[in-house]
Amino acid sequence: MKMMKKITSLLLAVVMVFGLVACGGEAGTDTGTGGKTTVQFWHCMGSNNGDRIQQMVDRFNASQDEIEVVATYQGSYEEGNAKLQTAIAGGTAPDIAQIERGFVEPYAKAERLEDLRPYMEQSGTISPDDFVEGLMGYSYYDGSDKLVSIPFSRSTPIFYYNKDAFREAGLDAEKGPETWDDVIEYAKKLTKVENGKTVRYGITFPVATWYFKANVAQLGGRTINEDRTAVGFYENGVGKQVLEYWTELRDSGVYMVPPTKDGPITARQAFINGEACMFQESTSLIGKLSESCEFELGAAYLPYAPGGKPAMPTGGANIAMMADGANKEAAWKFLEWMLTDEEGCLQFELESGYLPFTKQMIESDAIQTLWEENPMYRIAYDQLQYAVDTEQHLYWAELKSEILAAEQAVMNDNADIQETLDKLYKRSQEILSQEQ
Amino acid sequence: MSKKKALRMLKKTPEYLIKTIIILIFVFPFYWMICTAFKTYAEAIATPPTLWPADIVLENFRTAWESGPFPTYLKNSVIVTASVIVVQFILMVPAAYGFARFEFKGKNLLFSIVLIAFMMPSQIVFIPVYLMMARWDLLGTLLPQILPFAANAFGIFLLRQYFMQVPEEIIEAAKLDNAKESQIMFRIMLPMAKSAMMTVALFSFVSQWNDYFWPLVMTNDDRLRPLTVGIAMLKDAEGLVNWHVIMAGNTILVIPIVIIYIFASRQIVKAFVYSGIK
Amino acid sequence: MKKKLYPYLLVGPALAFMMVFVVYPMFYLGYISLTNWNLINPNKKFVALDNYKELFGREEFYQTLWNTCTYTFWTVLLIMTVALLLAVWFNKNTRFDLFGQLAIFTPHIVALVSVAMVWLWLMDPDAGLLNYILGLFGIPPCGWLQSSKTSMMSIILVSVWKSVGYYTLIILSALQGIPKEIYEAAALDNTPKWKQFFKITLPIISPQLFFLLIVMTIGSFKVFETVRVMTGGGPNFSTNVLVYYIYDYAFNNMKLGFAAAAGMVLLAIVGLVTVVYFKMLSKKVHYQ
Repeated sequence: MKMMKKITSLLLAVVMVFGLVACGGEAGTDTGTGGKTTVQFWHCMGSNNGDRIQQMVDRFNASQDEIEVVATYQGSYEEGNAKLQTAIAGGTAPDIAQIERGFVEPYAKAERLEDLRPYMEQSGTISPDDFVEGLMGYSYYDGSDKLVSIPFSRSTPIFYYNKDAFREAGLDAEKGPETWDDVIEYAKKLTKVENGKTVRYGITFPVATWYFKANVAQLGGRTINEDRTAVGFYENGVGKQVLEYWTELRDSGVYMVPPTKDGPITARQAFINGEACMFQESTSLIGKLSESCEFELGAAYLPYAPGGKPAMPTGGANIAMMADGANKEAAWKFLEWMLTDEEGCLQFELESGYLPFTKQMIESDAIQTLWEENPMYRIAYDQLQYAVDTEQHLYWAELKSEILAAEQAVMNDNADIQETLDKLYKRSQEILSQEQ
Repeated sequence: MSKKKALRMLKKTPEYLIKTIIILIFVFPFYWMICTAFKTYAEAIATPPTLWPADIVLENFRTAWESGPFPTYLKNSVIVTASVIVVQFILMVPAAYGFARFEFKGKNLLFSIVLIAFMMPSQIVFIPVYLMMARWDLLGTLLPQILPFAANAFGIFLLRQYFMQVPEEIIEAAKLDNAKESQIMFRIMLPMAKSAMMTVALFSFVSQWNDYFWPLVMTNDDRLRPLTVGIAMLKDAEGLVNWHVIMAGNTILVIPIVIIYIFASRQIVKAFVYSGIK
Repeated sequence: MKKKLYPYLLVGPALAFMMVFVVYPMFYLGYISLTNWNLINPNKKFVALDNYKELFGREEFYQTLWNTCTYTFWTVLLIMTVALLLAVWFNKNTRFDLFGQLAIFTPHIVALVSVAMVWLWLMDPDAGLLNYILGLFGIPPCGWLQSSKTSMMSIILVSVWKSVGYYTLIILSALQGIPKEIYEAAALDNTPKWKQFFKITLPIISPQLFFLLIVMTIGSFKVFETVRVMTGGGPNFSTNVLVYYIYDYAFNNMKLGFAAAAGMVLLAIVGLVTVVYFKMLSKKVHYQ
């Protein structure tokens, strides 16, 4: 009975496999080492920034012997968000989580985020007033009452340019363009066409909501209007002006339109390779760009509309303490350490290039030295005085994809601007009127 | 004679030419992935891309491997994939056989469950499954990555198709020889469906080994995660992409599949040669 | 009695797992679709058919449905044709052809994320290789993924490239099961190759092809990864498909109840398609 033999060995294999699985299981259940309290910290940072978070956590764990923080990568911002929601429903939420800023509101609304104010008052080492104002747009819920999340990996859009190309085109390399008109003018001078083919573009930036919001704010518009009933760039004509500016750039053949997906990657590569000479992107790229660009890199405030004012939204993710967490006291100890210790967030922000976010961090020698060495970091921070965030809403994500679609309709498909905005306006009313 | 042969070769040339082009189309991105794995960062992001690395860099593989607990990831990948395939076969073969050779009450209803299983997208099912696993307290084990895949609807579907095609005469003959049902299944049906089973095993292996989303949402802990999740971590949240390292990671991921595929494709061919079908 | 129970014993274990991991989640989904739950909200409210009403009142839902159907139609048609041709053509035992079989299968074993960048580069409207090749033949450049007119076609192209090898392999294994004697007889009759294909090959492998047709259709309705990696549903929702829509609503827009309602519609459609297939085609398929 050869077959029987085969079956027996198969069954044996199964038993062994399940044995292994069970073993894996035991290793997986967390008992905490040596009676330490375990704090689960979920983050969404891969690659080098993920390593930096791990190193920061290691520094904390080495600094004391009561708490053991376990940092776990949970996928991209979106995957991490899906993960966190499911974990909350399953009762397995972590103690601390990194949450992309646009997703903070729904968690706060569902009362899943712990109010940090009482913790701060009790410890006395840091107060809500110590945070940099411009980065707190997503931190308070219910007016200014509850402090539900604090900045962590935050950035703003900044205007990068290729100084060498500027000099070559006879432009002032020490100063970026100030207004949109300057941008169009500069871009035209920077664009190079050979044999009917554009070999160098004046400017590139991803067709994304971030830059649209920035341009809208510069003209005094809002992403969501003050009554929170519709988008705040329709009736005042601001959205139309912005899209006209964008289409003008595109139609004069000076703007390289990046692909819908992974646009930021393509745009960045084009800039690094010298195929596009001006580039709007996150301040968190300063380090990477300084390192990879073979030309002299310049950075400036985002150019604003003629007759407008400098303004830009902020981006990135916050961290929050979960209300369902089991070890809140220990979680606060870790947060407090991150906020106040020089080896905490300060070092992480220094290494990663994200913005420092407390007054103590700003005043620290480390940041001051960095600013002296690379003034671009200073520009990134100084810009924050113009930070405006006007899209905090439970249904922001839904509205965001509609705004993006409208931008794509205009930029990719050359749809009529007014018609597109009419449709978007109506849709925004529907979305924002949903039960909160 | 040799002239004739030369003529035949000449006649074959266009065929080989077109086939070569087809092969290139399919292999190019694969080749490009491996090629990038040996490039430096600067070369990896250059446009237009270079077709051969200027300097061959082995460092990327080390960077990828040392970016996380890769031995653990590898162990988990192997355990999960192997268990899934073994468990799938234990459940799949009898079920396919049952659906192919028997008439019983409610057969259509039960088979429609197989079809439903086949069409449920995992992006929808994972919520209830996760909640279930949390309730059963299994999230600290590898089981959430194994149990939901235990019943392979596609495999049951495919094997049933093959079992149904085994000529009735062979089975009748076996029955005349007083063969038991189990003997018919193991002695006649299985050898005949050998190539189909190899195909199913290969597909299960590929999909399990490459699965990223499911293990990510089912695990809260690095100690339970497979290679794919480790490799995804090589990518930064805001798209600062180290393509060369990511490609190195993906190349590591793909090696076992290529080995198994080469092995399996030989077995599939062999299976036909030795099976009753000729 | 024992004989009657036997088939149930055979199919029972597999079905038990399916009940737990598929049927139960399906009912759960149905239940969620009647609530306003969003996973994080502790209070679920029963909203009856509100989610369905909202869903069917949405213009973009119909667009999504249409996109999904377009995608399914073309991928199934193209994959079936191409896979059949490749399988027949590479069905030889030479080293070259065996290598060819392996080559065609490679796209399937590589994670799409790692080849997405090559495709983005190939399909770049300005600098891409595809437009360059079109230019050689005097064809005006195409917008590929960057225009709503061509984005779906581009996605279909990538999907076909990615999965045709998988189906070629199944067809190959079916082809190799055809007894050689049949062809030898045909060769004696001097039947031309193409006639052999339609008179002998096709009828014999038609059960497998029918099976593949269902597999492909259902697989296409489930398309998610290609869209997520290549376009994110854009530009202007032109490549948004059902599963992506569902995922997006469930987790990014945090409207799980609404997403579940869309999920139920997906299940209904796929169920319907399967039933129609079985009723219409199973009679025409040649069984040995």
